[in-house]
Amino acid sequence: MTSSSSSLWGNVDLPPDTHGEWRIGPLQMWIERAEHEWSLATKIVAGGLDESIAYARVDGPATEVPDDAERSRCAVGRGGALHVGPALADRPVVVRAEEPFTLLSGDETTFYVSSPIWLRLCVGDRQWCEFPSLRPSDTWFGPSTREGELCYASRTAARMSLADAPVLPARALTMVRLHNEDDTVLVFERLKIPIGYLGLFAGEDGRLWTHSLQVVRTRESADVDVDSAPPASAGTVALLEGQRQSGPNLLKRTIHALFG
Amino acid sequence: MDDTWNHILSWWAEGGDAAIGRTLLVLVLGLLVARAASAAVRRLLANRTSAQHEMIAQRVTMYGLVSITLIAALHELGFDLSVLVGAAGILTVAIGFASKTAASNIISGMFLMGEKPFSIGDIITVGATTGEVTAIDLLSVKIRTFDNLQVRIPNESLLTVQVTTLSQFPIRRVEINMNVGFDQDVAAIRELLMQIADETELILESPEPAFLVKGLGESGIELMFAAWATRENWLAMRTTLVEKTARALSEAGFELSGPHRKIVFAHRDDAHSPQQ
Repeated sequence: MTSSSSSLWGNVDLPPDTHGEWRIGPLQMWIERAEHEWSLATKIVAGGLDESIAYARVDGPATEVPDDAERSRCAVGRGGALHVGPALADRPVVVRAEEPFTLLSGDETTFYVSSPIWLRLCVGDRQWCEFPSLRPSDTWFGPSTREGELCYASRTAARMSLADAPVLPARALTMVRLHNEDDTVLVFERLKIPIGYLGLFAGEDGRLWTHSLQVVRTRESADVDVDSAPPASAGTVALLEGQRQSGPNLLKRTIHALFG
Repeated sequence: MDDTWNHILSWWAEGGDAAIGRTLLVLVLGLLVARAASAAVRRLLANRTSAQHEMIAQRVTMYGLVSITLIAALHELGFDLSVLVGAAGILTVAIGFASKTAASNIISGMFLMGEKPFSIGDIITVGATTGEVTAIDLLSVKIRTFDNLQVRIPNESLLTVQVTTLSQFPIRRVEINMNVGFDQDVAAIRELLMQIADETELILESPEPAFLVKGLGESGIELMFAAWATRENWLAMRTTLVEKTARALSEAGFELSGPHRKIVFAHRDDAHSPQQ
């Protein structure tokens, strides 16, 4: 039995006729190995802020899987080791402030936002499946119901201090530095994090981090710069997953494409 | 009749059999080229433009080449094409009178292609029919309904009736109307429904769900709850929302109010005693 988040990720030794049991925050997962087949069962058993971590290898079939767990099977002729890895969401994540947030002209601030992670299972070098640790709510981000983008809603509020952000095994933290260079105040309730342009890192304390973002607001646009690494406050980190989307590092967006 | 027969015999004697051979060759080659060219156009435009533009380009190529082939074949048979062109005006008038409906459909089809209220692959509702548009042809639009029937709707009628495109915009709203008794706690119902929306992942967090008290009806307070979902999840969300709403209201002890009438029988001794 392990209780360290860093040991959750990587290759898993599961001989035939054994199964593994994982608990990653709100997600309970069972993976059973047969001679030419892998079976997966998952169930959300807690809320998104759950801090539980566990992994154990058990001999014999997984008999204790609940009936309402989601199941899938994968036929494997060639064999190969099972790799369990985290990934970031496949759409942008929208963070909502509890109250409208104001940034004065010429001022800057830093805050930390967390987004749920996805789990990616591979057999050998081939991907088997990918699914969220906790399915976030959908949300629409755009100026109207005709124009915009489908995103995920982050259910956690942004934190102004790292100390206030709990270490959660199934969420990744993004540091956003926001600078208002315009001569008017910036007022917003929602901020869209372009998560597809960020990579995923693991810190030594088990916390998952993404690349940091620098957002500079000018009159009618916002320049988004993706840093080369998580912030220094993350300590020593190891890259787990690269960006889903490649593109120019500097993303120039209209104000309405980032702030709502 | 005898003159015509004599004309054909003399034409045959003057080498008409060779003309027939050439005509058949022109027809076969022309049709093969038309078929190959329209297939090439389709391959060329595949994944580069919409399915509708692809179909239009393919058909224009096909019909154009077939027309040229027919003109060349008539020329080989010795028809004087200048006479044919001269007769075309009269022919057009004759055909116009004879095929008024078809011509109307063709012109309506052109308006539809110009206005583009929907494209191939869109889900539309016309009258009582809802389905996926599978073809926009010269005379009609074909729809595949969800129970897998093909419905042909003449273009002419599409210009005159209301057509609703369900797949135009990326998100859609689900509205649930309900009546509750006059003695029910509307604020508590509102809170309950908002909690359901919050817990249902398919319901969009933004635009926010709306709870409306529409009025006081004959049989209770009229309420409406509206929530948004993506176009793809709309049906699944509606099913989930109705199911969860009915269960939650029932478990919380709220009673939905159906249509009912209170009938008062006038009575000589007790005229104001109501009986339900």
